[in-house]
Amino acid sequence: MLEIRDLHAAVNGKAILKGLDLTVNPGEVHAIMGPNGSGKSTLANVLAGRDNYEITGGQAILDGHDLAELEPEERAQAGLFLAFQYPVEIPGVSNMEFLKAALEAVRKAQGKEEWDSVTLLRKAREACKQVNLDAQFLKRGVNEGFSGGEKKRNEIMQMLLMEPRLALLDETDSGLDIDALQTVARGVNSLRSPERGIVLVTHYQRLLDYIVPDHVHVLSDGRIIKSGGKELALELEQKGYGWLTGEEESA
Amino acid sequence: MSSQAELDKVIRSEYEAGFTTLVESDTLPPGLSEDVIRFISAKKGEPEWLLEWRLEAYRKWREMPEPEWAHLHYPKVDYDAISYYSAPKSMEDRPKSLDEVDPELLDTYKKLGIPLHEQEMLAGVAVDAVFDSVSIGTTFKEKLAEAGVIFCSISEAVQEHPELVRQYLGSVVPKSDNFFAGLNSAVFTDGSFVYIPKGVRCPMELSTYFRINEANTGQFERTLIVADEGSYVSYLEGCTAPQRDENQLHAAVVELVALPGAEIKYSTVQNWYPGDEDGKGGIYNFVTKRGVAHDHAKISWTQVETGSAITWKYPSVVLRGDHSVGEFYSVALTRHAQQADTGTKMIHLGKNTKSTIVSKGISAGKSSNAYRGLVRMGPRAENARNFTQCDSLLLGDRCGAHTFPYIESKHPSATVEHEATTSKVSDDQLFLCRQRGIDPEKAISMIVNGFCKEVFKELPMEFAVEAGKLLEVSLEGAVG
Amino acid sequence: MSLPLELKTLAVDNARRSEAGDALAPLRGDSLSALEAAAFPDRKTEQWKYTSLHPLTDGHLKTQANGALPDALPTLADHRLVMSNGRLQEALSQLPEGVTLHRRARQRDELLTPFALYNGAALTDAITLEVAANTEISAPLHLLLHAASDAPAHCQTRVEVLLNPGSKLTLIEHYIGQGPVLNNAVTVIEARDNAHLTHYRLQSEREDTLHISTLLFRQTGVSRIDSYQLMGGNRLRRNDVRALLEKSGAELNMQGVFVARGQSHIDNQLCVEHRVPHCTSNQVFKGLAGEKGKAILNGRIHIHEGAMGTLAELSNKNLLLSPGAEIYTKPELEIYNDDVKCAHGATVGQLDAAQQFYLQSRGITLAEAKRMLSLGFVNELILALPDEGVARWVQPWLAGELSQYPGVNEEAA
Repeated sequence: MLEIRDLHAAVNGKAILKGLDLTVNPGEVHAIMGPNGSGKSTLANVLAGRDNYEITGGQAILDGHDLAELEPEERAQAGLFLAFQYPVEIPGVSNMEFLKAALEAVRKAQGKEEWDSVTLLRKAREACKQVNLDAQFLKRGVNEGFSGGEKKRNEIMQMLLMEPRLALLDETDSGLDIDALQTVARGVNSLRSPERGIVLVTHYQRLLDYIVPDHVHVLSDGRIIKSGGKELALELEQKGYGWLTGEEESA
Repeated sequence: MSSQAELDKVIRSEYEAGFTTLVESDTLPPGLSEDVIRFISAKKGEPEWLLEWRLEAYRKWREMPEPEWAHLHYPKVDYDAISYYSAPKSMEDRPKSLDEVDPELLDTYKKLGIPLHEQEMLAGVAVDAVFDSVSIGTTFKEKLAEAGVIFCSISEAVQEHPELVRQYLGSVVPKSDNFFAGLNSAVFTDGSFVYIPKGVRCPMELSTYFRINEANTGQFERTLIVADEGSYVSYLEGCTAPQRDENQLHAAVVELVALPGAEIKYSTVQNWYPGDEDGKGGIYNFVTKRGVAHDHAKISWTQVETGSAITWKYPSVVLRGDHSVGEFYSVALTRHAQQADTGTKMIHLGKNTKSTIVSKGISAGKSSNAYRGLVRMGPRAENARNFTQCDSLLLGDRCGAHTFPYIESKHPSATVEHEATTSKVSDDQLFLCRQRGIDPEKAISMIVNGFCKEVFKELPMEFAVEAGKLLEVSLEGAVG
Repeated sequence: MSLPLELKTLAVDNARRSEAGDALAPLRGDSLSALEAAAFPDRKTEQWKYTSLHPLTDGHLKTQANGALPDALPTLADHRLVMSNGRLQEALSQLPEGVTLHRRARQRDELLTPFALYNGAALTDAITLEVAANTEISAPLHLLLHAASDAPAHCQTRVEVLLNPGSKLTLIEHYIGQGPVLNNAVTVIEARDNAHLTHYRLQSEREDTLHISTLLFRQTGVSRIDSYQLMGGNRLRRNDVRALLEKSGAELNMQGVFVARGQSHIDNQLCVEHRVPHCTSNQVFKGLAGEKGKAILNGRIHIHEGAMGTLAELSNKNLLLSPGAEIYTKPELEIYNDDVKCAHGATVGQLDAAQQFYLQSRGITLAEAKRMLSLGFVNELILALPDEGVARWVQPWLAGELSQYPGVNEEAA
């Protein structure tokens, strides 16, 4: 479903991705690991279409759509969901209002039936419960005054509602304590389905204790330098990235 | 002296030439003089004291220099080119149906979801005043009369309740308060009058909207609201639909008197024609709005300003009584070449007085949006408190956003806090929305609505919904 | 004749009469013609809304001050330059290596106020200091600017400082004086690429003096200026500070404390202009007014068209210590660009009654409690002063400014 071929990308004119290949099939969970600055977050943002993240070569195809040709909202409507590393606050716009607008747009584009307000509220409450977020958060401004952990859980809550075709999680584990990490992992695991691809971008192995990936890739200097099964993550945990990149690094 | 005699006097003494046509056309030729004022006063059958009051205002106005502002730019108004009295347009002069009305205007009405008959009314289509409003108007008047509330045009009040008008007219905004208030005092033609008796809670929200067909209030509107001790009233002015008006200059005066323990809530949605992209043909709105709050009284101004080529207004509260409260909540959106210079004055005179100011400015296009405010703590204002939050949101690199808050304190136990921020809609916010599938225009409108939420929640419910919609429509195409 | 006109006539006449060396002749000529075209402020002039020029009399514009320097001069640093009544005192001055001195000044279009023009037109002396490129002046330079007279008189003080690329300087601009003298001062400081200036402005003239000054910062290079301004009140103190950020990457930090006690008056007019993209400015000012003192701050941030990526902040907190005192503050934003992040805040308040009571309950007198809490109010700025000499100076100065005011009865809280 996601086919990335020889992808080159630049951030503000600086080349970051230098020929990346990756195939994600429906039902698979992939983990992209790598040291800081290897291009992990860039990959997530390039796929989602953030400003100043420019594809300079190669292709990323999602279900036949060339992502480079789509606006960010069109990518979302095509089923791509990015759980942000640093979710931004939107003061005054309530979570509920925001979700309503998002779900209306996305479900309409996907030809799914629209949810009425009652259904939406019910589903949103369920999703909140699933990630241990008080339903009061639905009334508050998007991420406004949320703690780091609450923001991350809010992202997962949205993901549950939006039922994406491809979920990208950008360092969703960073800054979470073990309880929150397990909550988030439960949420992600509940989305695992034969219809859906999941890509986890992470620096540490610990998330993968709870969301067991089918494939693990190591990214270094804008390329995937090694791929393997879940055992590759454990190996990285023991040996550090220096083992693969040839550089000193204490992870 | 009867109005006819007054009229005759004017005719004989000053207007010998050309007056016949005047009477026939019911419209004065352009220009302003004492005779014009005598004519207006006579036409309205006003008592002598009011004529004197107008003339005094006129004499003072003539001595006043027209203000000049560093941040407002517009060609000088020729006060001698304005006609100061004209009767309502006859049916023949008006558009016969909506087919004759500017399609762009109609498009906006549709977006705002305004019912067809109201569209006709707003566009000035010649409709007989037989539709709903009459019946609404009647039940409405009965209900008010039951409560003892007086709600009528100010001309009517001059005739029916002269003692109230005479006591309070100009008591809050003196005749020579400022250039535009002076002009208004001399030539005002109509407006609203409200009186709420002691201890009465007005049974419904009063709206000029109900009266839209009753009178052509014209460009020099005068409103006077008196809330007697312990009473409460909520007054709504304007409506969200863009209003066309032939008169370019509008200089209204609104006076609020909140007697001890009374509360007045005054909400405005102003969406006058802002002119084309260069501001051509748009309305100049120079309004003086002020209230006096006596002991334990409360005055609250809420405004949503999206129209006019130039908006100049500072709804203010004089916190005269101890424990009185003043509030100002404002959203001002400017786009294209619009200029808004708006804010408030909170004059704390009494002890334990409290004021809150929340101002949200949104500038787009090449518009200019200024907040100008004054918080003054007088030497008797023991324990007075003010909090001001003043935020600007910028939507375009050619617009201007300015903040000029004057803070003056003469009492050591008074506290003033002022905070202001200016920022643009961040790329990150926009990206988050788009990543969730929301298109950029919708996203901007959501973010802007969120930015204004603190103010919208002060509006009466249906007004708040309309205001949100209005903002959305106004922002269309404003974002590149 | 109206006061502004009268003042202007006096100023112009006086400027025509006064004499100076050839080096200053062009500046004086240019300034005089500009002065002739300028208007002096009256109460309707927006920037002079809260300050009246009535304390100025004939003598303040006509008579050249010639009061003597005190016997013991304050010493805040190893190197010192002394100007007395606008004239350089060579015998008392010593320059650090890397700084050169010229007896001249330049006409600047950026100096717009009539008093700055008057300064140029009536100059008798002026100094320009130049810091050599790529030179770090390690020891601070103490610039002692003195004015004194027994009868109403004036002096024109003019200092210009140029920091060449890569230079670094700590400058202590220190005003002292006594008697009914008007020190009309102009200071111009220009920082070029990679220059770093740490600037102190200490204003501790006696209460009977008058002081009108214009301070102009020009950051024509990617430079950094940290300015600390400590200002006491006097009969009339007016500071116009204008900072121009003219090259992307420039950074300006200004902090200040101003205190108006007794009958004193202090008016600060700050204007920071972001003329180019990606500059940063940060201002924190704290004001106190007690007795019949009047303290004013107008802090304008002006973001020009095209100055994207600007970060600008201003905070002004004030304490009103007693009935009769007045505080006026106006933080202004004038913005012509969307890609900016600006914020300002202003407060006027009083000492916390609960805190006062707490101190009193521990046996501290109310007056002492007020002094301690006032000190606490400004302490974050005072403790952050990096220079040791200034830090030593500031403690007794502040103690004097904040101590119980003689002859004024303390009111119970």
